[in-house]
Amino acid sequence: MIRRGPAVALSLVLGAGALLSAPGAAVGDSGTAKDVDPCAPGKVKLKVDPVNDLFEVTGVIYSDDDDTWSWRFRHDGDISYQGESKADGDGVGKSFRVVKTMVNFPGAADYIVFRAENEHTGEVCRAELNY
Amino acid sequence: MRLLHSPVTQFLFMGLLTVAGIVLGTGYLAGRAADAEAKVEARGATQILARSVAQPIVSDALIKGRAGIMDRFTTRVNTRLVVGDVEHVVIWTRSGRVVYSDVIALIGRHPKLAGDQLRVLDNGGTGSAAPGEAEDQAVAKYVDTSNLLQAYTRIHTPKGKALLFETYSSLNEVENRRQAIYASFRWITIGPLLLLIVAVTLLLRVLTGRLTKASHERERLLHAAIDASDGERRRIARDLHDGVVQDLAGTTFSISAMARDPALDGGHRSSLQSASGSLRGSLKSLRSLLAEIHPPDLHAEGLAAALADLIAPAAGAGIAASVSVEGAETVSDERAALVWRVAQEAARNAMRHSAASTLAVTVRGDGQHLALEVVDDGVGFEPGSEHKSDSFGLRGLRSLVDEADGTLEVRSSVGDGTTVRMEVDAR
Repeated sequence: MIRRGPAVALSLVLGAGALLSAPGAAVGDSGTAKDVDPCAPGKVKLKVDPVNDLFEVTGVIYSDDDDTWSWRFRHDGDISYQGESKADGDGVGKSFRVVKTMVNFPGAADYIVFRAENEHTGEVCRAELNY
Repeated sequence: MRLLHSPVTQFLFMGLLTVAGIVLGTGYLAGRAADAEAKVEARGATQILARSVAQPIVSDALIKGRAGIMDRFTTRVNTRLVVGDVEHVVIWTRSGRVVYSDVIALIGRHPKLAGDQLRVLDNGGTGSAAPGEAEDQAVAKYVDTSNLLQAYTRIHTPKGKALLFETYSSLNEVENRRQAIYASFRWITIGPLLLLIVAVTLLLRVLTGRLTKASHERERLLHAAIDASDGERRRIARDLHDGVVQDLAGTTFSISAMARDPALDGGHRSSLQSASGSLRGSLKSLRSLLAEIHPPDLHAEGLAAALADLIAPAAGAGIAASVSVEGAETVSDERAALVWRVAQEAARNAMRHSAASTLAVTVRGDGQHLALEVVDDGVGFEPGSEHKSDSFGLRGLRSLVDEADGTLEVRSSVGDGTTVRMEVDAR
């Protein structure tokens, strides 16, 4: 009989290790961030442009498919916007783009996350940055 | 200068001044009406925005300042609240904390609410403040509100918490409304006035022309009457001079000669000498009367003698009169006649009313200017209280002197005598 305790513990350790070893979102001062995991490289893009006291936030998924994606923007951990989209275009290069406005709070940096999930395949793409 | 004295010019000036006053007045009133209307409209618009847009989307989470709620609220505010004339929006709690504003720097701050804002927050209704007179100065610290109209009203969160919803609206629409109000009144008020001024000016011009024409005609008739009177007086004076005066002079001469006859006794001689003296006196008076009835044809060289004849009756009234003429040798005949006429009127007044003991008539000329002074040491009079007939006489003199572009001055006071001074160009 297999003892479940060590197996569970091993699974947790391996899972945690996998999470820790996964490359995080590339965060830079340029206001553009890309996530490479679990998406294919360059599949997700997050861009933040300051406009007066606001941010114009753009999230892009280069999905190359006709699937429905559910997406959401988080701002300092709080959901700002969410919705569903499908890519436009034909074949390679098909993508969708979501543009929203956020408040640029004075003082501390704003933590912004763009996350999209393929409702058909379960693929998750995520990008984040501090601005 | 003559143009300025024209009644038409004066009327036009006053009329345009009145129109300018009306334009400024109506502009001011239109501005006030537009401001008042703008305030009412701003309050109404704010109330509509508050009830139909702000209140449905405001939430209790917004008060907590959660970023996601702020982001969504901002999107709605930018598309549905900060539109048209509304340039800024502020939402306050009663404690004076700014829950939300499109002026992001204000969010979370605690500027205090003013009295009227608290009144609206507690009791409902609306409030407003003119540009630069905002109830609170919170927004003014971050954006220029000098040209923005403030209006506020009360809204509630879904859980019933009262918040103050405040808008700042541009005055562009107010200015447009002011112009619209003013434009609608402008031609209604100014147009008829301008037309009236034009019509009255034309009418005035016609009437003035008629008056001027009538005045010229009256003047012509007056001159004709004067000429006729002058001719008649001249004829009477000539007849008297050639008849009565000559006869009287001959009689005086004969009686004087008879009085010198050594054959006469003393009584008859004395009577004849007395009669001769009386006749000479009468002759002198008659000559003065002749001079008054019709002045002699005056020339510069005869001016002194004519003036002397003029004041000859003064001796009979117990007045020591004197004449002094210097520098008047080259004056024109017209100027000599003018001097004589002014002196005649002044001396006549002095002899009739002044009770003076001395009367001095002085004429001085320097080739360019001619001055006449008639001075007495009589009782004088209060200026402005001249006897009517004398007043007419002085008025006539002034008219004569004015025509000659000269000046006539009458100085007098009670007890200090009277001085009549005329200055005129010598040519």
